[in-house]
Amino acid sequence: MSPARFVVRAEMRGKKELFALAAAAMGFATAVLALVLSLADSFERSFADSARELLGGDVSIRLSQRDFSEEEIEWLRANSAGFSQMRAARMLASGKNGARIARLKTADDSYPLFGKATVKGGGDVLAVIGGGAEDGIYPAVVSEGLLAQLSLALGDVFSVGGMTVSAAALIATEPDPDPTLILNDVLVLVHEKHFLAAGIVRPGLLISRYARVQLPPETGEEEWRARLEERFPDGGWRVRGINRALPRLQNIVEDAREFLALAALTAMLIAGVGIGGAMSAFLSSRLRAIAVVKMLGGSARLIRIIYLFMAVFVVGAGALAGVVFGQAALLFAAPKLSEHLPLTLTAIWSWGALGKAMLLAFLISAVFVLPPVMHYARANPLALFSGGARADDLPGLRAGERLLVAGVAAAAVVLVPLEGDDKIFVLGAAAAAGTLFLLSHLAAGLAGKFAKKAPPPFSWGLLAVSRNRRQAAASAMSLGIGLAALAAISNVEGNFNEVVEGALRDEIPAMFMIGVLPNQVEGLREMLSEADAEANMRAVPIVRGRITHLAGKPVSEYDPPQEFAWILRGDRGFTWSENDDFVGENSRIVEGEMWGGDDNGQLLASFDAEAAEAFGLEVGDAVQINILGKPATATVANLRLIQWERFDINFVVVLSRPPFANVPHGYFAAVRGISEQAARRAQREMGERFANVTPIVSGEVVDAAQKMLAKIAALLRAVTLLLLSGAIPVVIAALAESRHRRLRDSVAMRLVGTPASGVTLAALTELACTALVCVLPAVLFGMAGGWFVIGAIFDLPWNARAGEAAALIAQAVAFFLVLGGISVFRIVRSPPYPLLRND
Amino acid sequence: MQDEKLSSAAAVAAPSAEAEEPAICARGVCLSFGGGTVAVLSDLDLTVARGEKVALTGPSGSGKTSLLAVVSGLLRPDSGTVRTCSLPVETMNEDELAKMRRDKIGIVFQHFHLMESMTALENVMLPLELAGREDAEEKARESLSSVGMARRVGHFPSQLSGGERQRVAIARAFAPGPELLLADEPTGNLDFDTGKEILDVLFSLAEGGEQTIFFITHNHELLPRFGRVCALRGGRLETR
Repeated sequence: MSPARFVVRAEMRGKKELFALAAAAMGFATAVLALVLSLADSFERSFADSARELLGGDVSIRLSQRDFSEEEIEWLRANSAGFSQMRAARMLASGKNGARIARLKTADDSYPLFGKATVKGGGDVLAVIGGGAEDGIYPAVVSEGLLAQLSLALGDVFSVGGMTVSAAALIATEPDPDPTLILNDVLVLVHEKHFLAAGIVRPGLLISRYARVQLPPETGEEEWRARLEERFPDGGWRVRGINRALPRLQNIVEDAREFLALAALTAMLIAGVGIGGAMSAFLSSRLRAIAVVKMLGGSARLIRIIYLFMAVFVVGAGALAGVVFGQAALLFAAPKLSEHLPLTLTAIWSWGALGKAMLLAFLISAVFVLPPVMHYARANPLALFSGGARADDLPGLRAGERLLVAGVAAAAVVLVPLEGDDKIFVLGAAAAAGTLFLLSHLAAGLAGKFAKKAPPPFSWGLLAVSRNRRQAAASAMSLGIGLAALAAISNVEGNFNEVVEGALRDEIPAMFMIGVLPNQVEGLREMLSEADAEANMRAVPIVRGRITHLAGKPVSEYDPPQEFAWILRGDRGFTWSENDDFVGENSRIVEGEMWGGDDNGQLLASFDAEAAEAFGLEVGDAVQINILGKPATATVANLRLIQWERFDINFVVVLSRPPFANVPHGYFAAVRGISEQAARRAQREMGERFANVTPIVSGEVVDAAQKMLAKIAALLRAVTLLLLSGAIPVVIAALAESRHRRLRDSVAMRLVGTPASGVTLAALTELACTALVCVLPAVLFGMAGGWFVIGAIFDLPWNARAGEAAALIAQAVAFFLVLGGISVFRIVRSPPYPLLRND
Repeated sequence: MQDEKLSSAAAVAAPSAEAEEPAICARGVCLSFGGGTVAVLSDLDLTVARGEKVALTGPSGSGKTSLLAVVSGLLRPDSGTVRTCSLPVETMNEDELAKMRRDKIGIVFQHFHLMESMTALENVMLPLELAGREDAEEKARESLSSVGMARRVGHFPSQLSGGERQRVAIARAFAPGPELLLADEPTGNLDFDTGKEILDVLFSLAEGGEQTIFFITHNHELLPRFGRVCALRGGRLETR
């Protein structure tokens, strides 16, 4: 047996609980990271495996507002091995028991190009929807969501966008779900020929047309897209390839991966702090043993090997258990997730992800374990002559040792599985942890000042906190991030709810209407007035198109910040106004001037000032747009600073007149002054009289937003609680390490005649104060975070919500008292003689 | 890792020359603390022949322990030369000094300094394991047996009395067969009878192995057992 193994075997004795706790903390963080990374890899593989089915072809081309021309269809057919067309729109579905916005989709006889579209009970979708109409009622395949929301049964008749259909069958497999889809939805699937025959397609309706193409053999996607672009440079469509089959879900998976990986890394950081703290405390208690080994001829190198070996064993055991647990969780979760997703998620063994999780566990642990090991390896056996060794006498780390720790930390940061910008968050979390350490250190120091004024035994407890401030601060660093996050989430959620319940419900228009045809505007206004005399409808013209050039440069050459990228990415609405309808309290001109009547026939544009700044667009620059395949160029006349959060109707681009004569357009309307009940009545009536109009009752949206906010907050809380549960073993380990000191103190107190109650009070005072110095800075930090989100980012009124903060502090202190209290009562009950004899 | 070779300076002493050289040879040793403000050893000379049993006395703070630390290479003198077991202590690096203590010196302390996490047997095996000895357990059992602790091999230090702990510490010091035994008041924490017993054990082991003993004590009743008694006063040695 090597000397190192011989010593390690003995040193591990009796420390199993402490090391098991440290291993548990690291194992937990490793499990979460392994699960997150493997899950993301599994998603990536599943997307890739079923990309053609999900997309509906090798390439999907989408057009808004106009149909594909004969020439385009001819080219697409000639240049593909398979071709299919479909349409999709959001339309109001109304039955005898209510109305809901549904996803209407059409399919032609080639549908689907890949995969199978089937109905429940067996059979092909086309066989159901391809049948003939009876009495103007068309067969439709629907989702269970639609039947549930409209309280319908199979065979029932209902209306969608003015088309009367019967729920003929339930969809079983839809290989090409809506690309914006996240979860199962309200679907109505009809045949293309019936949709056209129903006569509901009119100019101004928001309908997307899709052409799906199976590429010819030996033809690559890039090459094919280049040919398409060359043949139809002004097509005005959006083309997606199989790498973006489900963009919304893919984005969500990517964002979730980043967020959860960040949370797992923070947990790993907490565990690393814990393992470092546990190792430091352990080595402090082993200082004499280290000196003895060195006195007997062991070198400092041997000491480093002994304790690093122990750390590797502890971290390795935890990390290994973590990756096994993470992978097992993935294998269990993948089938469950598939039930709620539009694709079958196949769990894979991603060795790269598992290896990365393990390696990060080692590297992050090493950052915190190396300093104490290198520090305590300096223990000088000379101290044995004077009765023992003291940590205070040891010199600090050498420059080379500091460099080694910095190198390991840098390697960990390089390996962190986050995108470049997001890595800053890891450094931010580390900086926050460091700040909490310092704040708690200061607070613990203050406890010492109060000790002079407090009567014993409270003063003893306060002094103990002050003298062991490093331990309290280390616990604060572990718990602090989670607690601060919890405090921030509660603060943000509470403040948002106050805003929603207060100002938002009063300020937001009661109802919005999309897809209003020009000849329906007055009829709608009349109908709404009948529903509620106070109703005040504002309708503005809208046409959909896309921005193609800014200041003469194609938008494809722009790389704006993410919050403005959507403006250039695809179709959006444009409106026009000959006067200053879009200038007012919530939208003011900050540069340029409002147009008058003397524009000499020139098309002018008013642009969102913040977006213009992001794009580098200035007054006088040209904005080229493409509407229905036709280009139009406007000159920027002014920039408007828009308060979008006021929910007034507004647009990024407002034109001075229609982009060209007789442009087919619709109207977008907002209604104020109408009661919510009247709005709901009007919504039902619209299903009968204005079936093509999509009404949105704001109250429902606000309710949905509140529910969504509550769900997001619950999700964030769950992640934070995971972080906190990772910190609990760290705190338990810290409390366990200080147990011996408390035991010694209690024996000394009892020897001088302190009653058990006094010893208990002193220990509980120490625990409560330790808890306070851990918790208070973290909660204050979280509240500051809440103010930053609400006050600084969203510019909304902020409330400190001190009651919530106080409750969180009370819960955390109670948690400390329960954890440490058990140990205190054991200490008070333990006989002093064994300690006096052996210590 | 414990098999590093001593530097050329350390390896100077050839076996034949070693036999003639004293176990400890210090010349003109000066040692001070606090940047020279507190002088501990002043131009000290000391020679301890091989096999000699020397007791060192002196008032508290006279520098006895410091001298022991200098001899064992745990403290470097400000000036002067020290040869311990024929090795030039003042020129050796930390690893060479550690190897010297492992192979040639045994140290016994007043406070025992046993490893609490190890049994008596493991404590005695420790220096043998550090030296890479394959017969570590066998030698450790022998050594414990020779100090009368054969029946307590599986006990941890916390389960032993003070006298028993010191016996284990002596067994640990003697197990590797050191040339020189340094003892820093090993009976200081024990009653007179137990202290006498400990000294008996120590002498019996040393006589059998012909080890040199350099022994610090305050107990004047023990002094007659030593061949020579030195007293440290004012940083210099006086021999009685």
